[in-house]
Amino acid sequence: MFLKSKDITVVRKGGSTLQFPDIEVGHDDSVLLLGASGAGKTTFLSVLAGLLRPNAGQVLVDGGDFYAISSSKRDQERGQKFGFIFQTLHLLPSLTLRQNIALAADMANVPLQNERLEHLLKTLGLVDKADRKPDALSQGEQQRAAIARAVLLRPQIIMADEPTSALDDDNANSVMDLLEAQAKESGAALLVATHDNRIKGRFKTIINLESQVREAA
Amino acid sequence: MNSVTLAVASIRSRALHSTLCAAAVAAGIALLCSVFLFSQSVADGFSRNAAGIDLVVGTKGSPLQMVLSSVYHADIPAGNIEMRDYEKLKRNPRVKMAIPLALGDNYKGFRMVGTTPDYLRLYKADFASGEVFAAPFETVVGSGSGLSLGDKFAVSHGLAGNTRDVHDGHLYTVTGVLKPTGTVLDKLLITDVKSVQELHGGHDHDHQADSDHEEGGHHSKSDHGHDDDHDHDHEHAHKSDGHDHHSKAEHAHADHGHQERAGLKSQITTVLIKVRSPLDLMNLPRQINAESDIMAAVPSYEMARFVKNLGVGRNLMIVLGAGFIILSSLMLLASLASGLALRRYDLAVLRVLGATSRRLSATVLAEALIISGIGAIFGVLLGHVLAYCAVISIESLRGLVLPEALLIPRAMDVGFILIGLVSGLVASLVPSITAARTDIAGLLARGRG
Repeated sequence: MFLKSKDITVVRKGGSTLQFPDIEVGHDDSVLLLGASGAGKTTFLSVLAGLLRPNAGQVLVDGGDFYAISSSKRDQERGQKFGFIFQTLHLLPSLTLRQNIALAADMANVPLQNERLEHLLKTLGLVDKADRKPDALSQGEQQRAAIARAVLLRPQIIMADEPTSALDDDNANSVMDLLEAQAKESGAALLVATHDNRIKGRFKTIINLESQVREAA
Repeated sequence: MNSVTLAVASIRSRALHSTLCAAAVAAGIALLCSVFLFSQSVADGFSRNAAGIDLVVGTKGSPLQMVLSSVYHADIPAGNIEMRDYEKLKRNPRVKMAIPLALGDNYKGFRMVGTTPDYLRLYKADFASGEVFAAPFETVVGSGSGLSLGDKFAVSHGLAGNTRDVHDGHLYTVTGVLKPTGTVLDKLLITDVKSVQELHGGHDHDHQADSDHEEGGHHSKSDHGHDDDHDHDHEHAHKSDGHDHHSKAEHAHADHGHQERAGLKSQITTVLIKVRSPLDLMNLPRQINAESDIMAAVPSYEMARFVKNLGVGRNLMIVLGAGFIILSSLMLLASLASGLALRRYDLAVLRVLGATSRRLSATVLAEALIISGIGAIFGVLLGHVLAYCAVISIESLRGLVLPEALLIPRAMDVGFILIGLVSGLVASLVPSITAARTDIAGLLARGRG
């Protein structure tokens, strides 16, 4: 089991409390976190990725307590074992596509494997655009670049936050196909948080975050 | 890709902001750098050219003027003293070396100095060719004069090189050319003191007091015949313009009851003195100043006072420069902060990709240091150019301060670049802490950056 959570509770700034179900993600699992906006999907992902210390509960990565290690060690583990895809993709506008993808290796302090980068550019059809800035690319190209960045280091898990909700059916399907293919190729588990019901059928495990919010007393 | 690459990318993506900030840093550093360079090179120029002269003795008047005109050849002399004053000084037991100076003529703006070979020794001058003057109207020229061995030339009255009254009755012959010394000597023409006295005292004189300076009057070139073109010489020969000087000089002559003709023949402008001991430097001026019509000035003391007066303006410039640097630091702070606000989401992404919070701080710090460092380097370059322009635009510093030396990098440049970097460091403190504390989960939850 790669990732486990137990009794996670987060108190939000307003005072409301979020309680999350325990999850377990194995090495080749694909898990869907389903919930409406405001249900705390991103918050839960942040906690699982070591970006937000929960007020109670535990996150175990490869069996170790993720919040018991130093924050810089946690940052490094995240960089090496987790791949992220954001809804807004968020490629750095001042860097070229190639630099944006390479950023994953740089930030995780891992030497960049150029063959891996070139391989990804080729499979994702980005070779011609590699030296352009994100602004000069289409939404689809940016999406593929974001996926390339997420899988560059062959992470253990790919976390995607609303990867499809802004897309039409065709594009949503092709993005999910890509994500699944890349996860498989990298040997990574897939954890997707979304309110997009269209992609439900693709996942082995579905965790519903609905009705987990408790308003402050 | 490290923090520096990221910082460079960020700087380039905000080129205008970054350029303005660097320009502000450059302005402050340039101001400081030029002020320090300028005052240092002026002070250096003064001390280099003082050449170990302990005292200057001349006619009563402004001691600063006397020092400037006789030591630095940067002002006009106030009047003359008698040759026998020099003879007397030479015999004084406190005096180690006494060198007479007779000023008053120029050739194309290069001052003719009537003196003794000791004057050349004072500046440790070496000959590039030829030898020291021996006969009347032989001359040794400074390396910057453009004259060469064997050249013959006539001098003009005054020191500025714009008079048209030419002593064309006598031609000087160049018997020696000096190697460059980096001092005023390079722009001087040196001859025996007797030659200058001969030129000014050896003719009939019609010394009708002061009318002689009006170029439009009977002295204009067209009015001169060869026979009478020296009839007004002495008047401005040794004194240049300004009636104060004249009346003083004339007054002195009257007191001594000299015939003017004989008087000029036995007059000099000043005497440069080296004393035997520091104690003599205290006592000799007192002894000299007790005499009725000559006075002694200590160049180092006069120049210290002069530089101190310059210091007021200098301090103002330093305050201005420091103000600029503080302002530029604030500008940089504002720019970094607004840049961070724009890039909050970028920073969050970097954290998600594994960057530690320290690394984000380092990126912000690198950005600030690159901008302020580039600004400081340009500031130092600009400072050198400004100081150079200041020196070449001030006539009286010509020959005294070597402008070319101002374009050469100095150790203190490193200090100025450090000042610039420190201003960048200060500016980046708050933004880099902000970057480190970025609430990533909150940003991600809110969605777009």
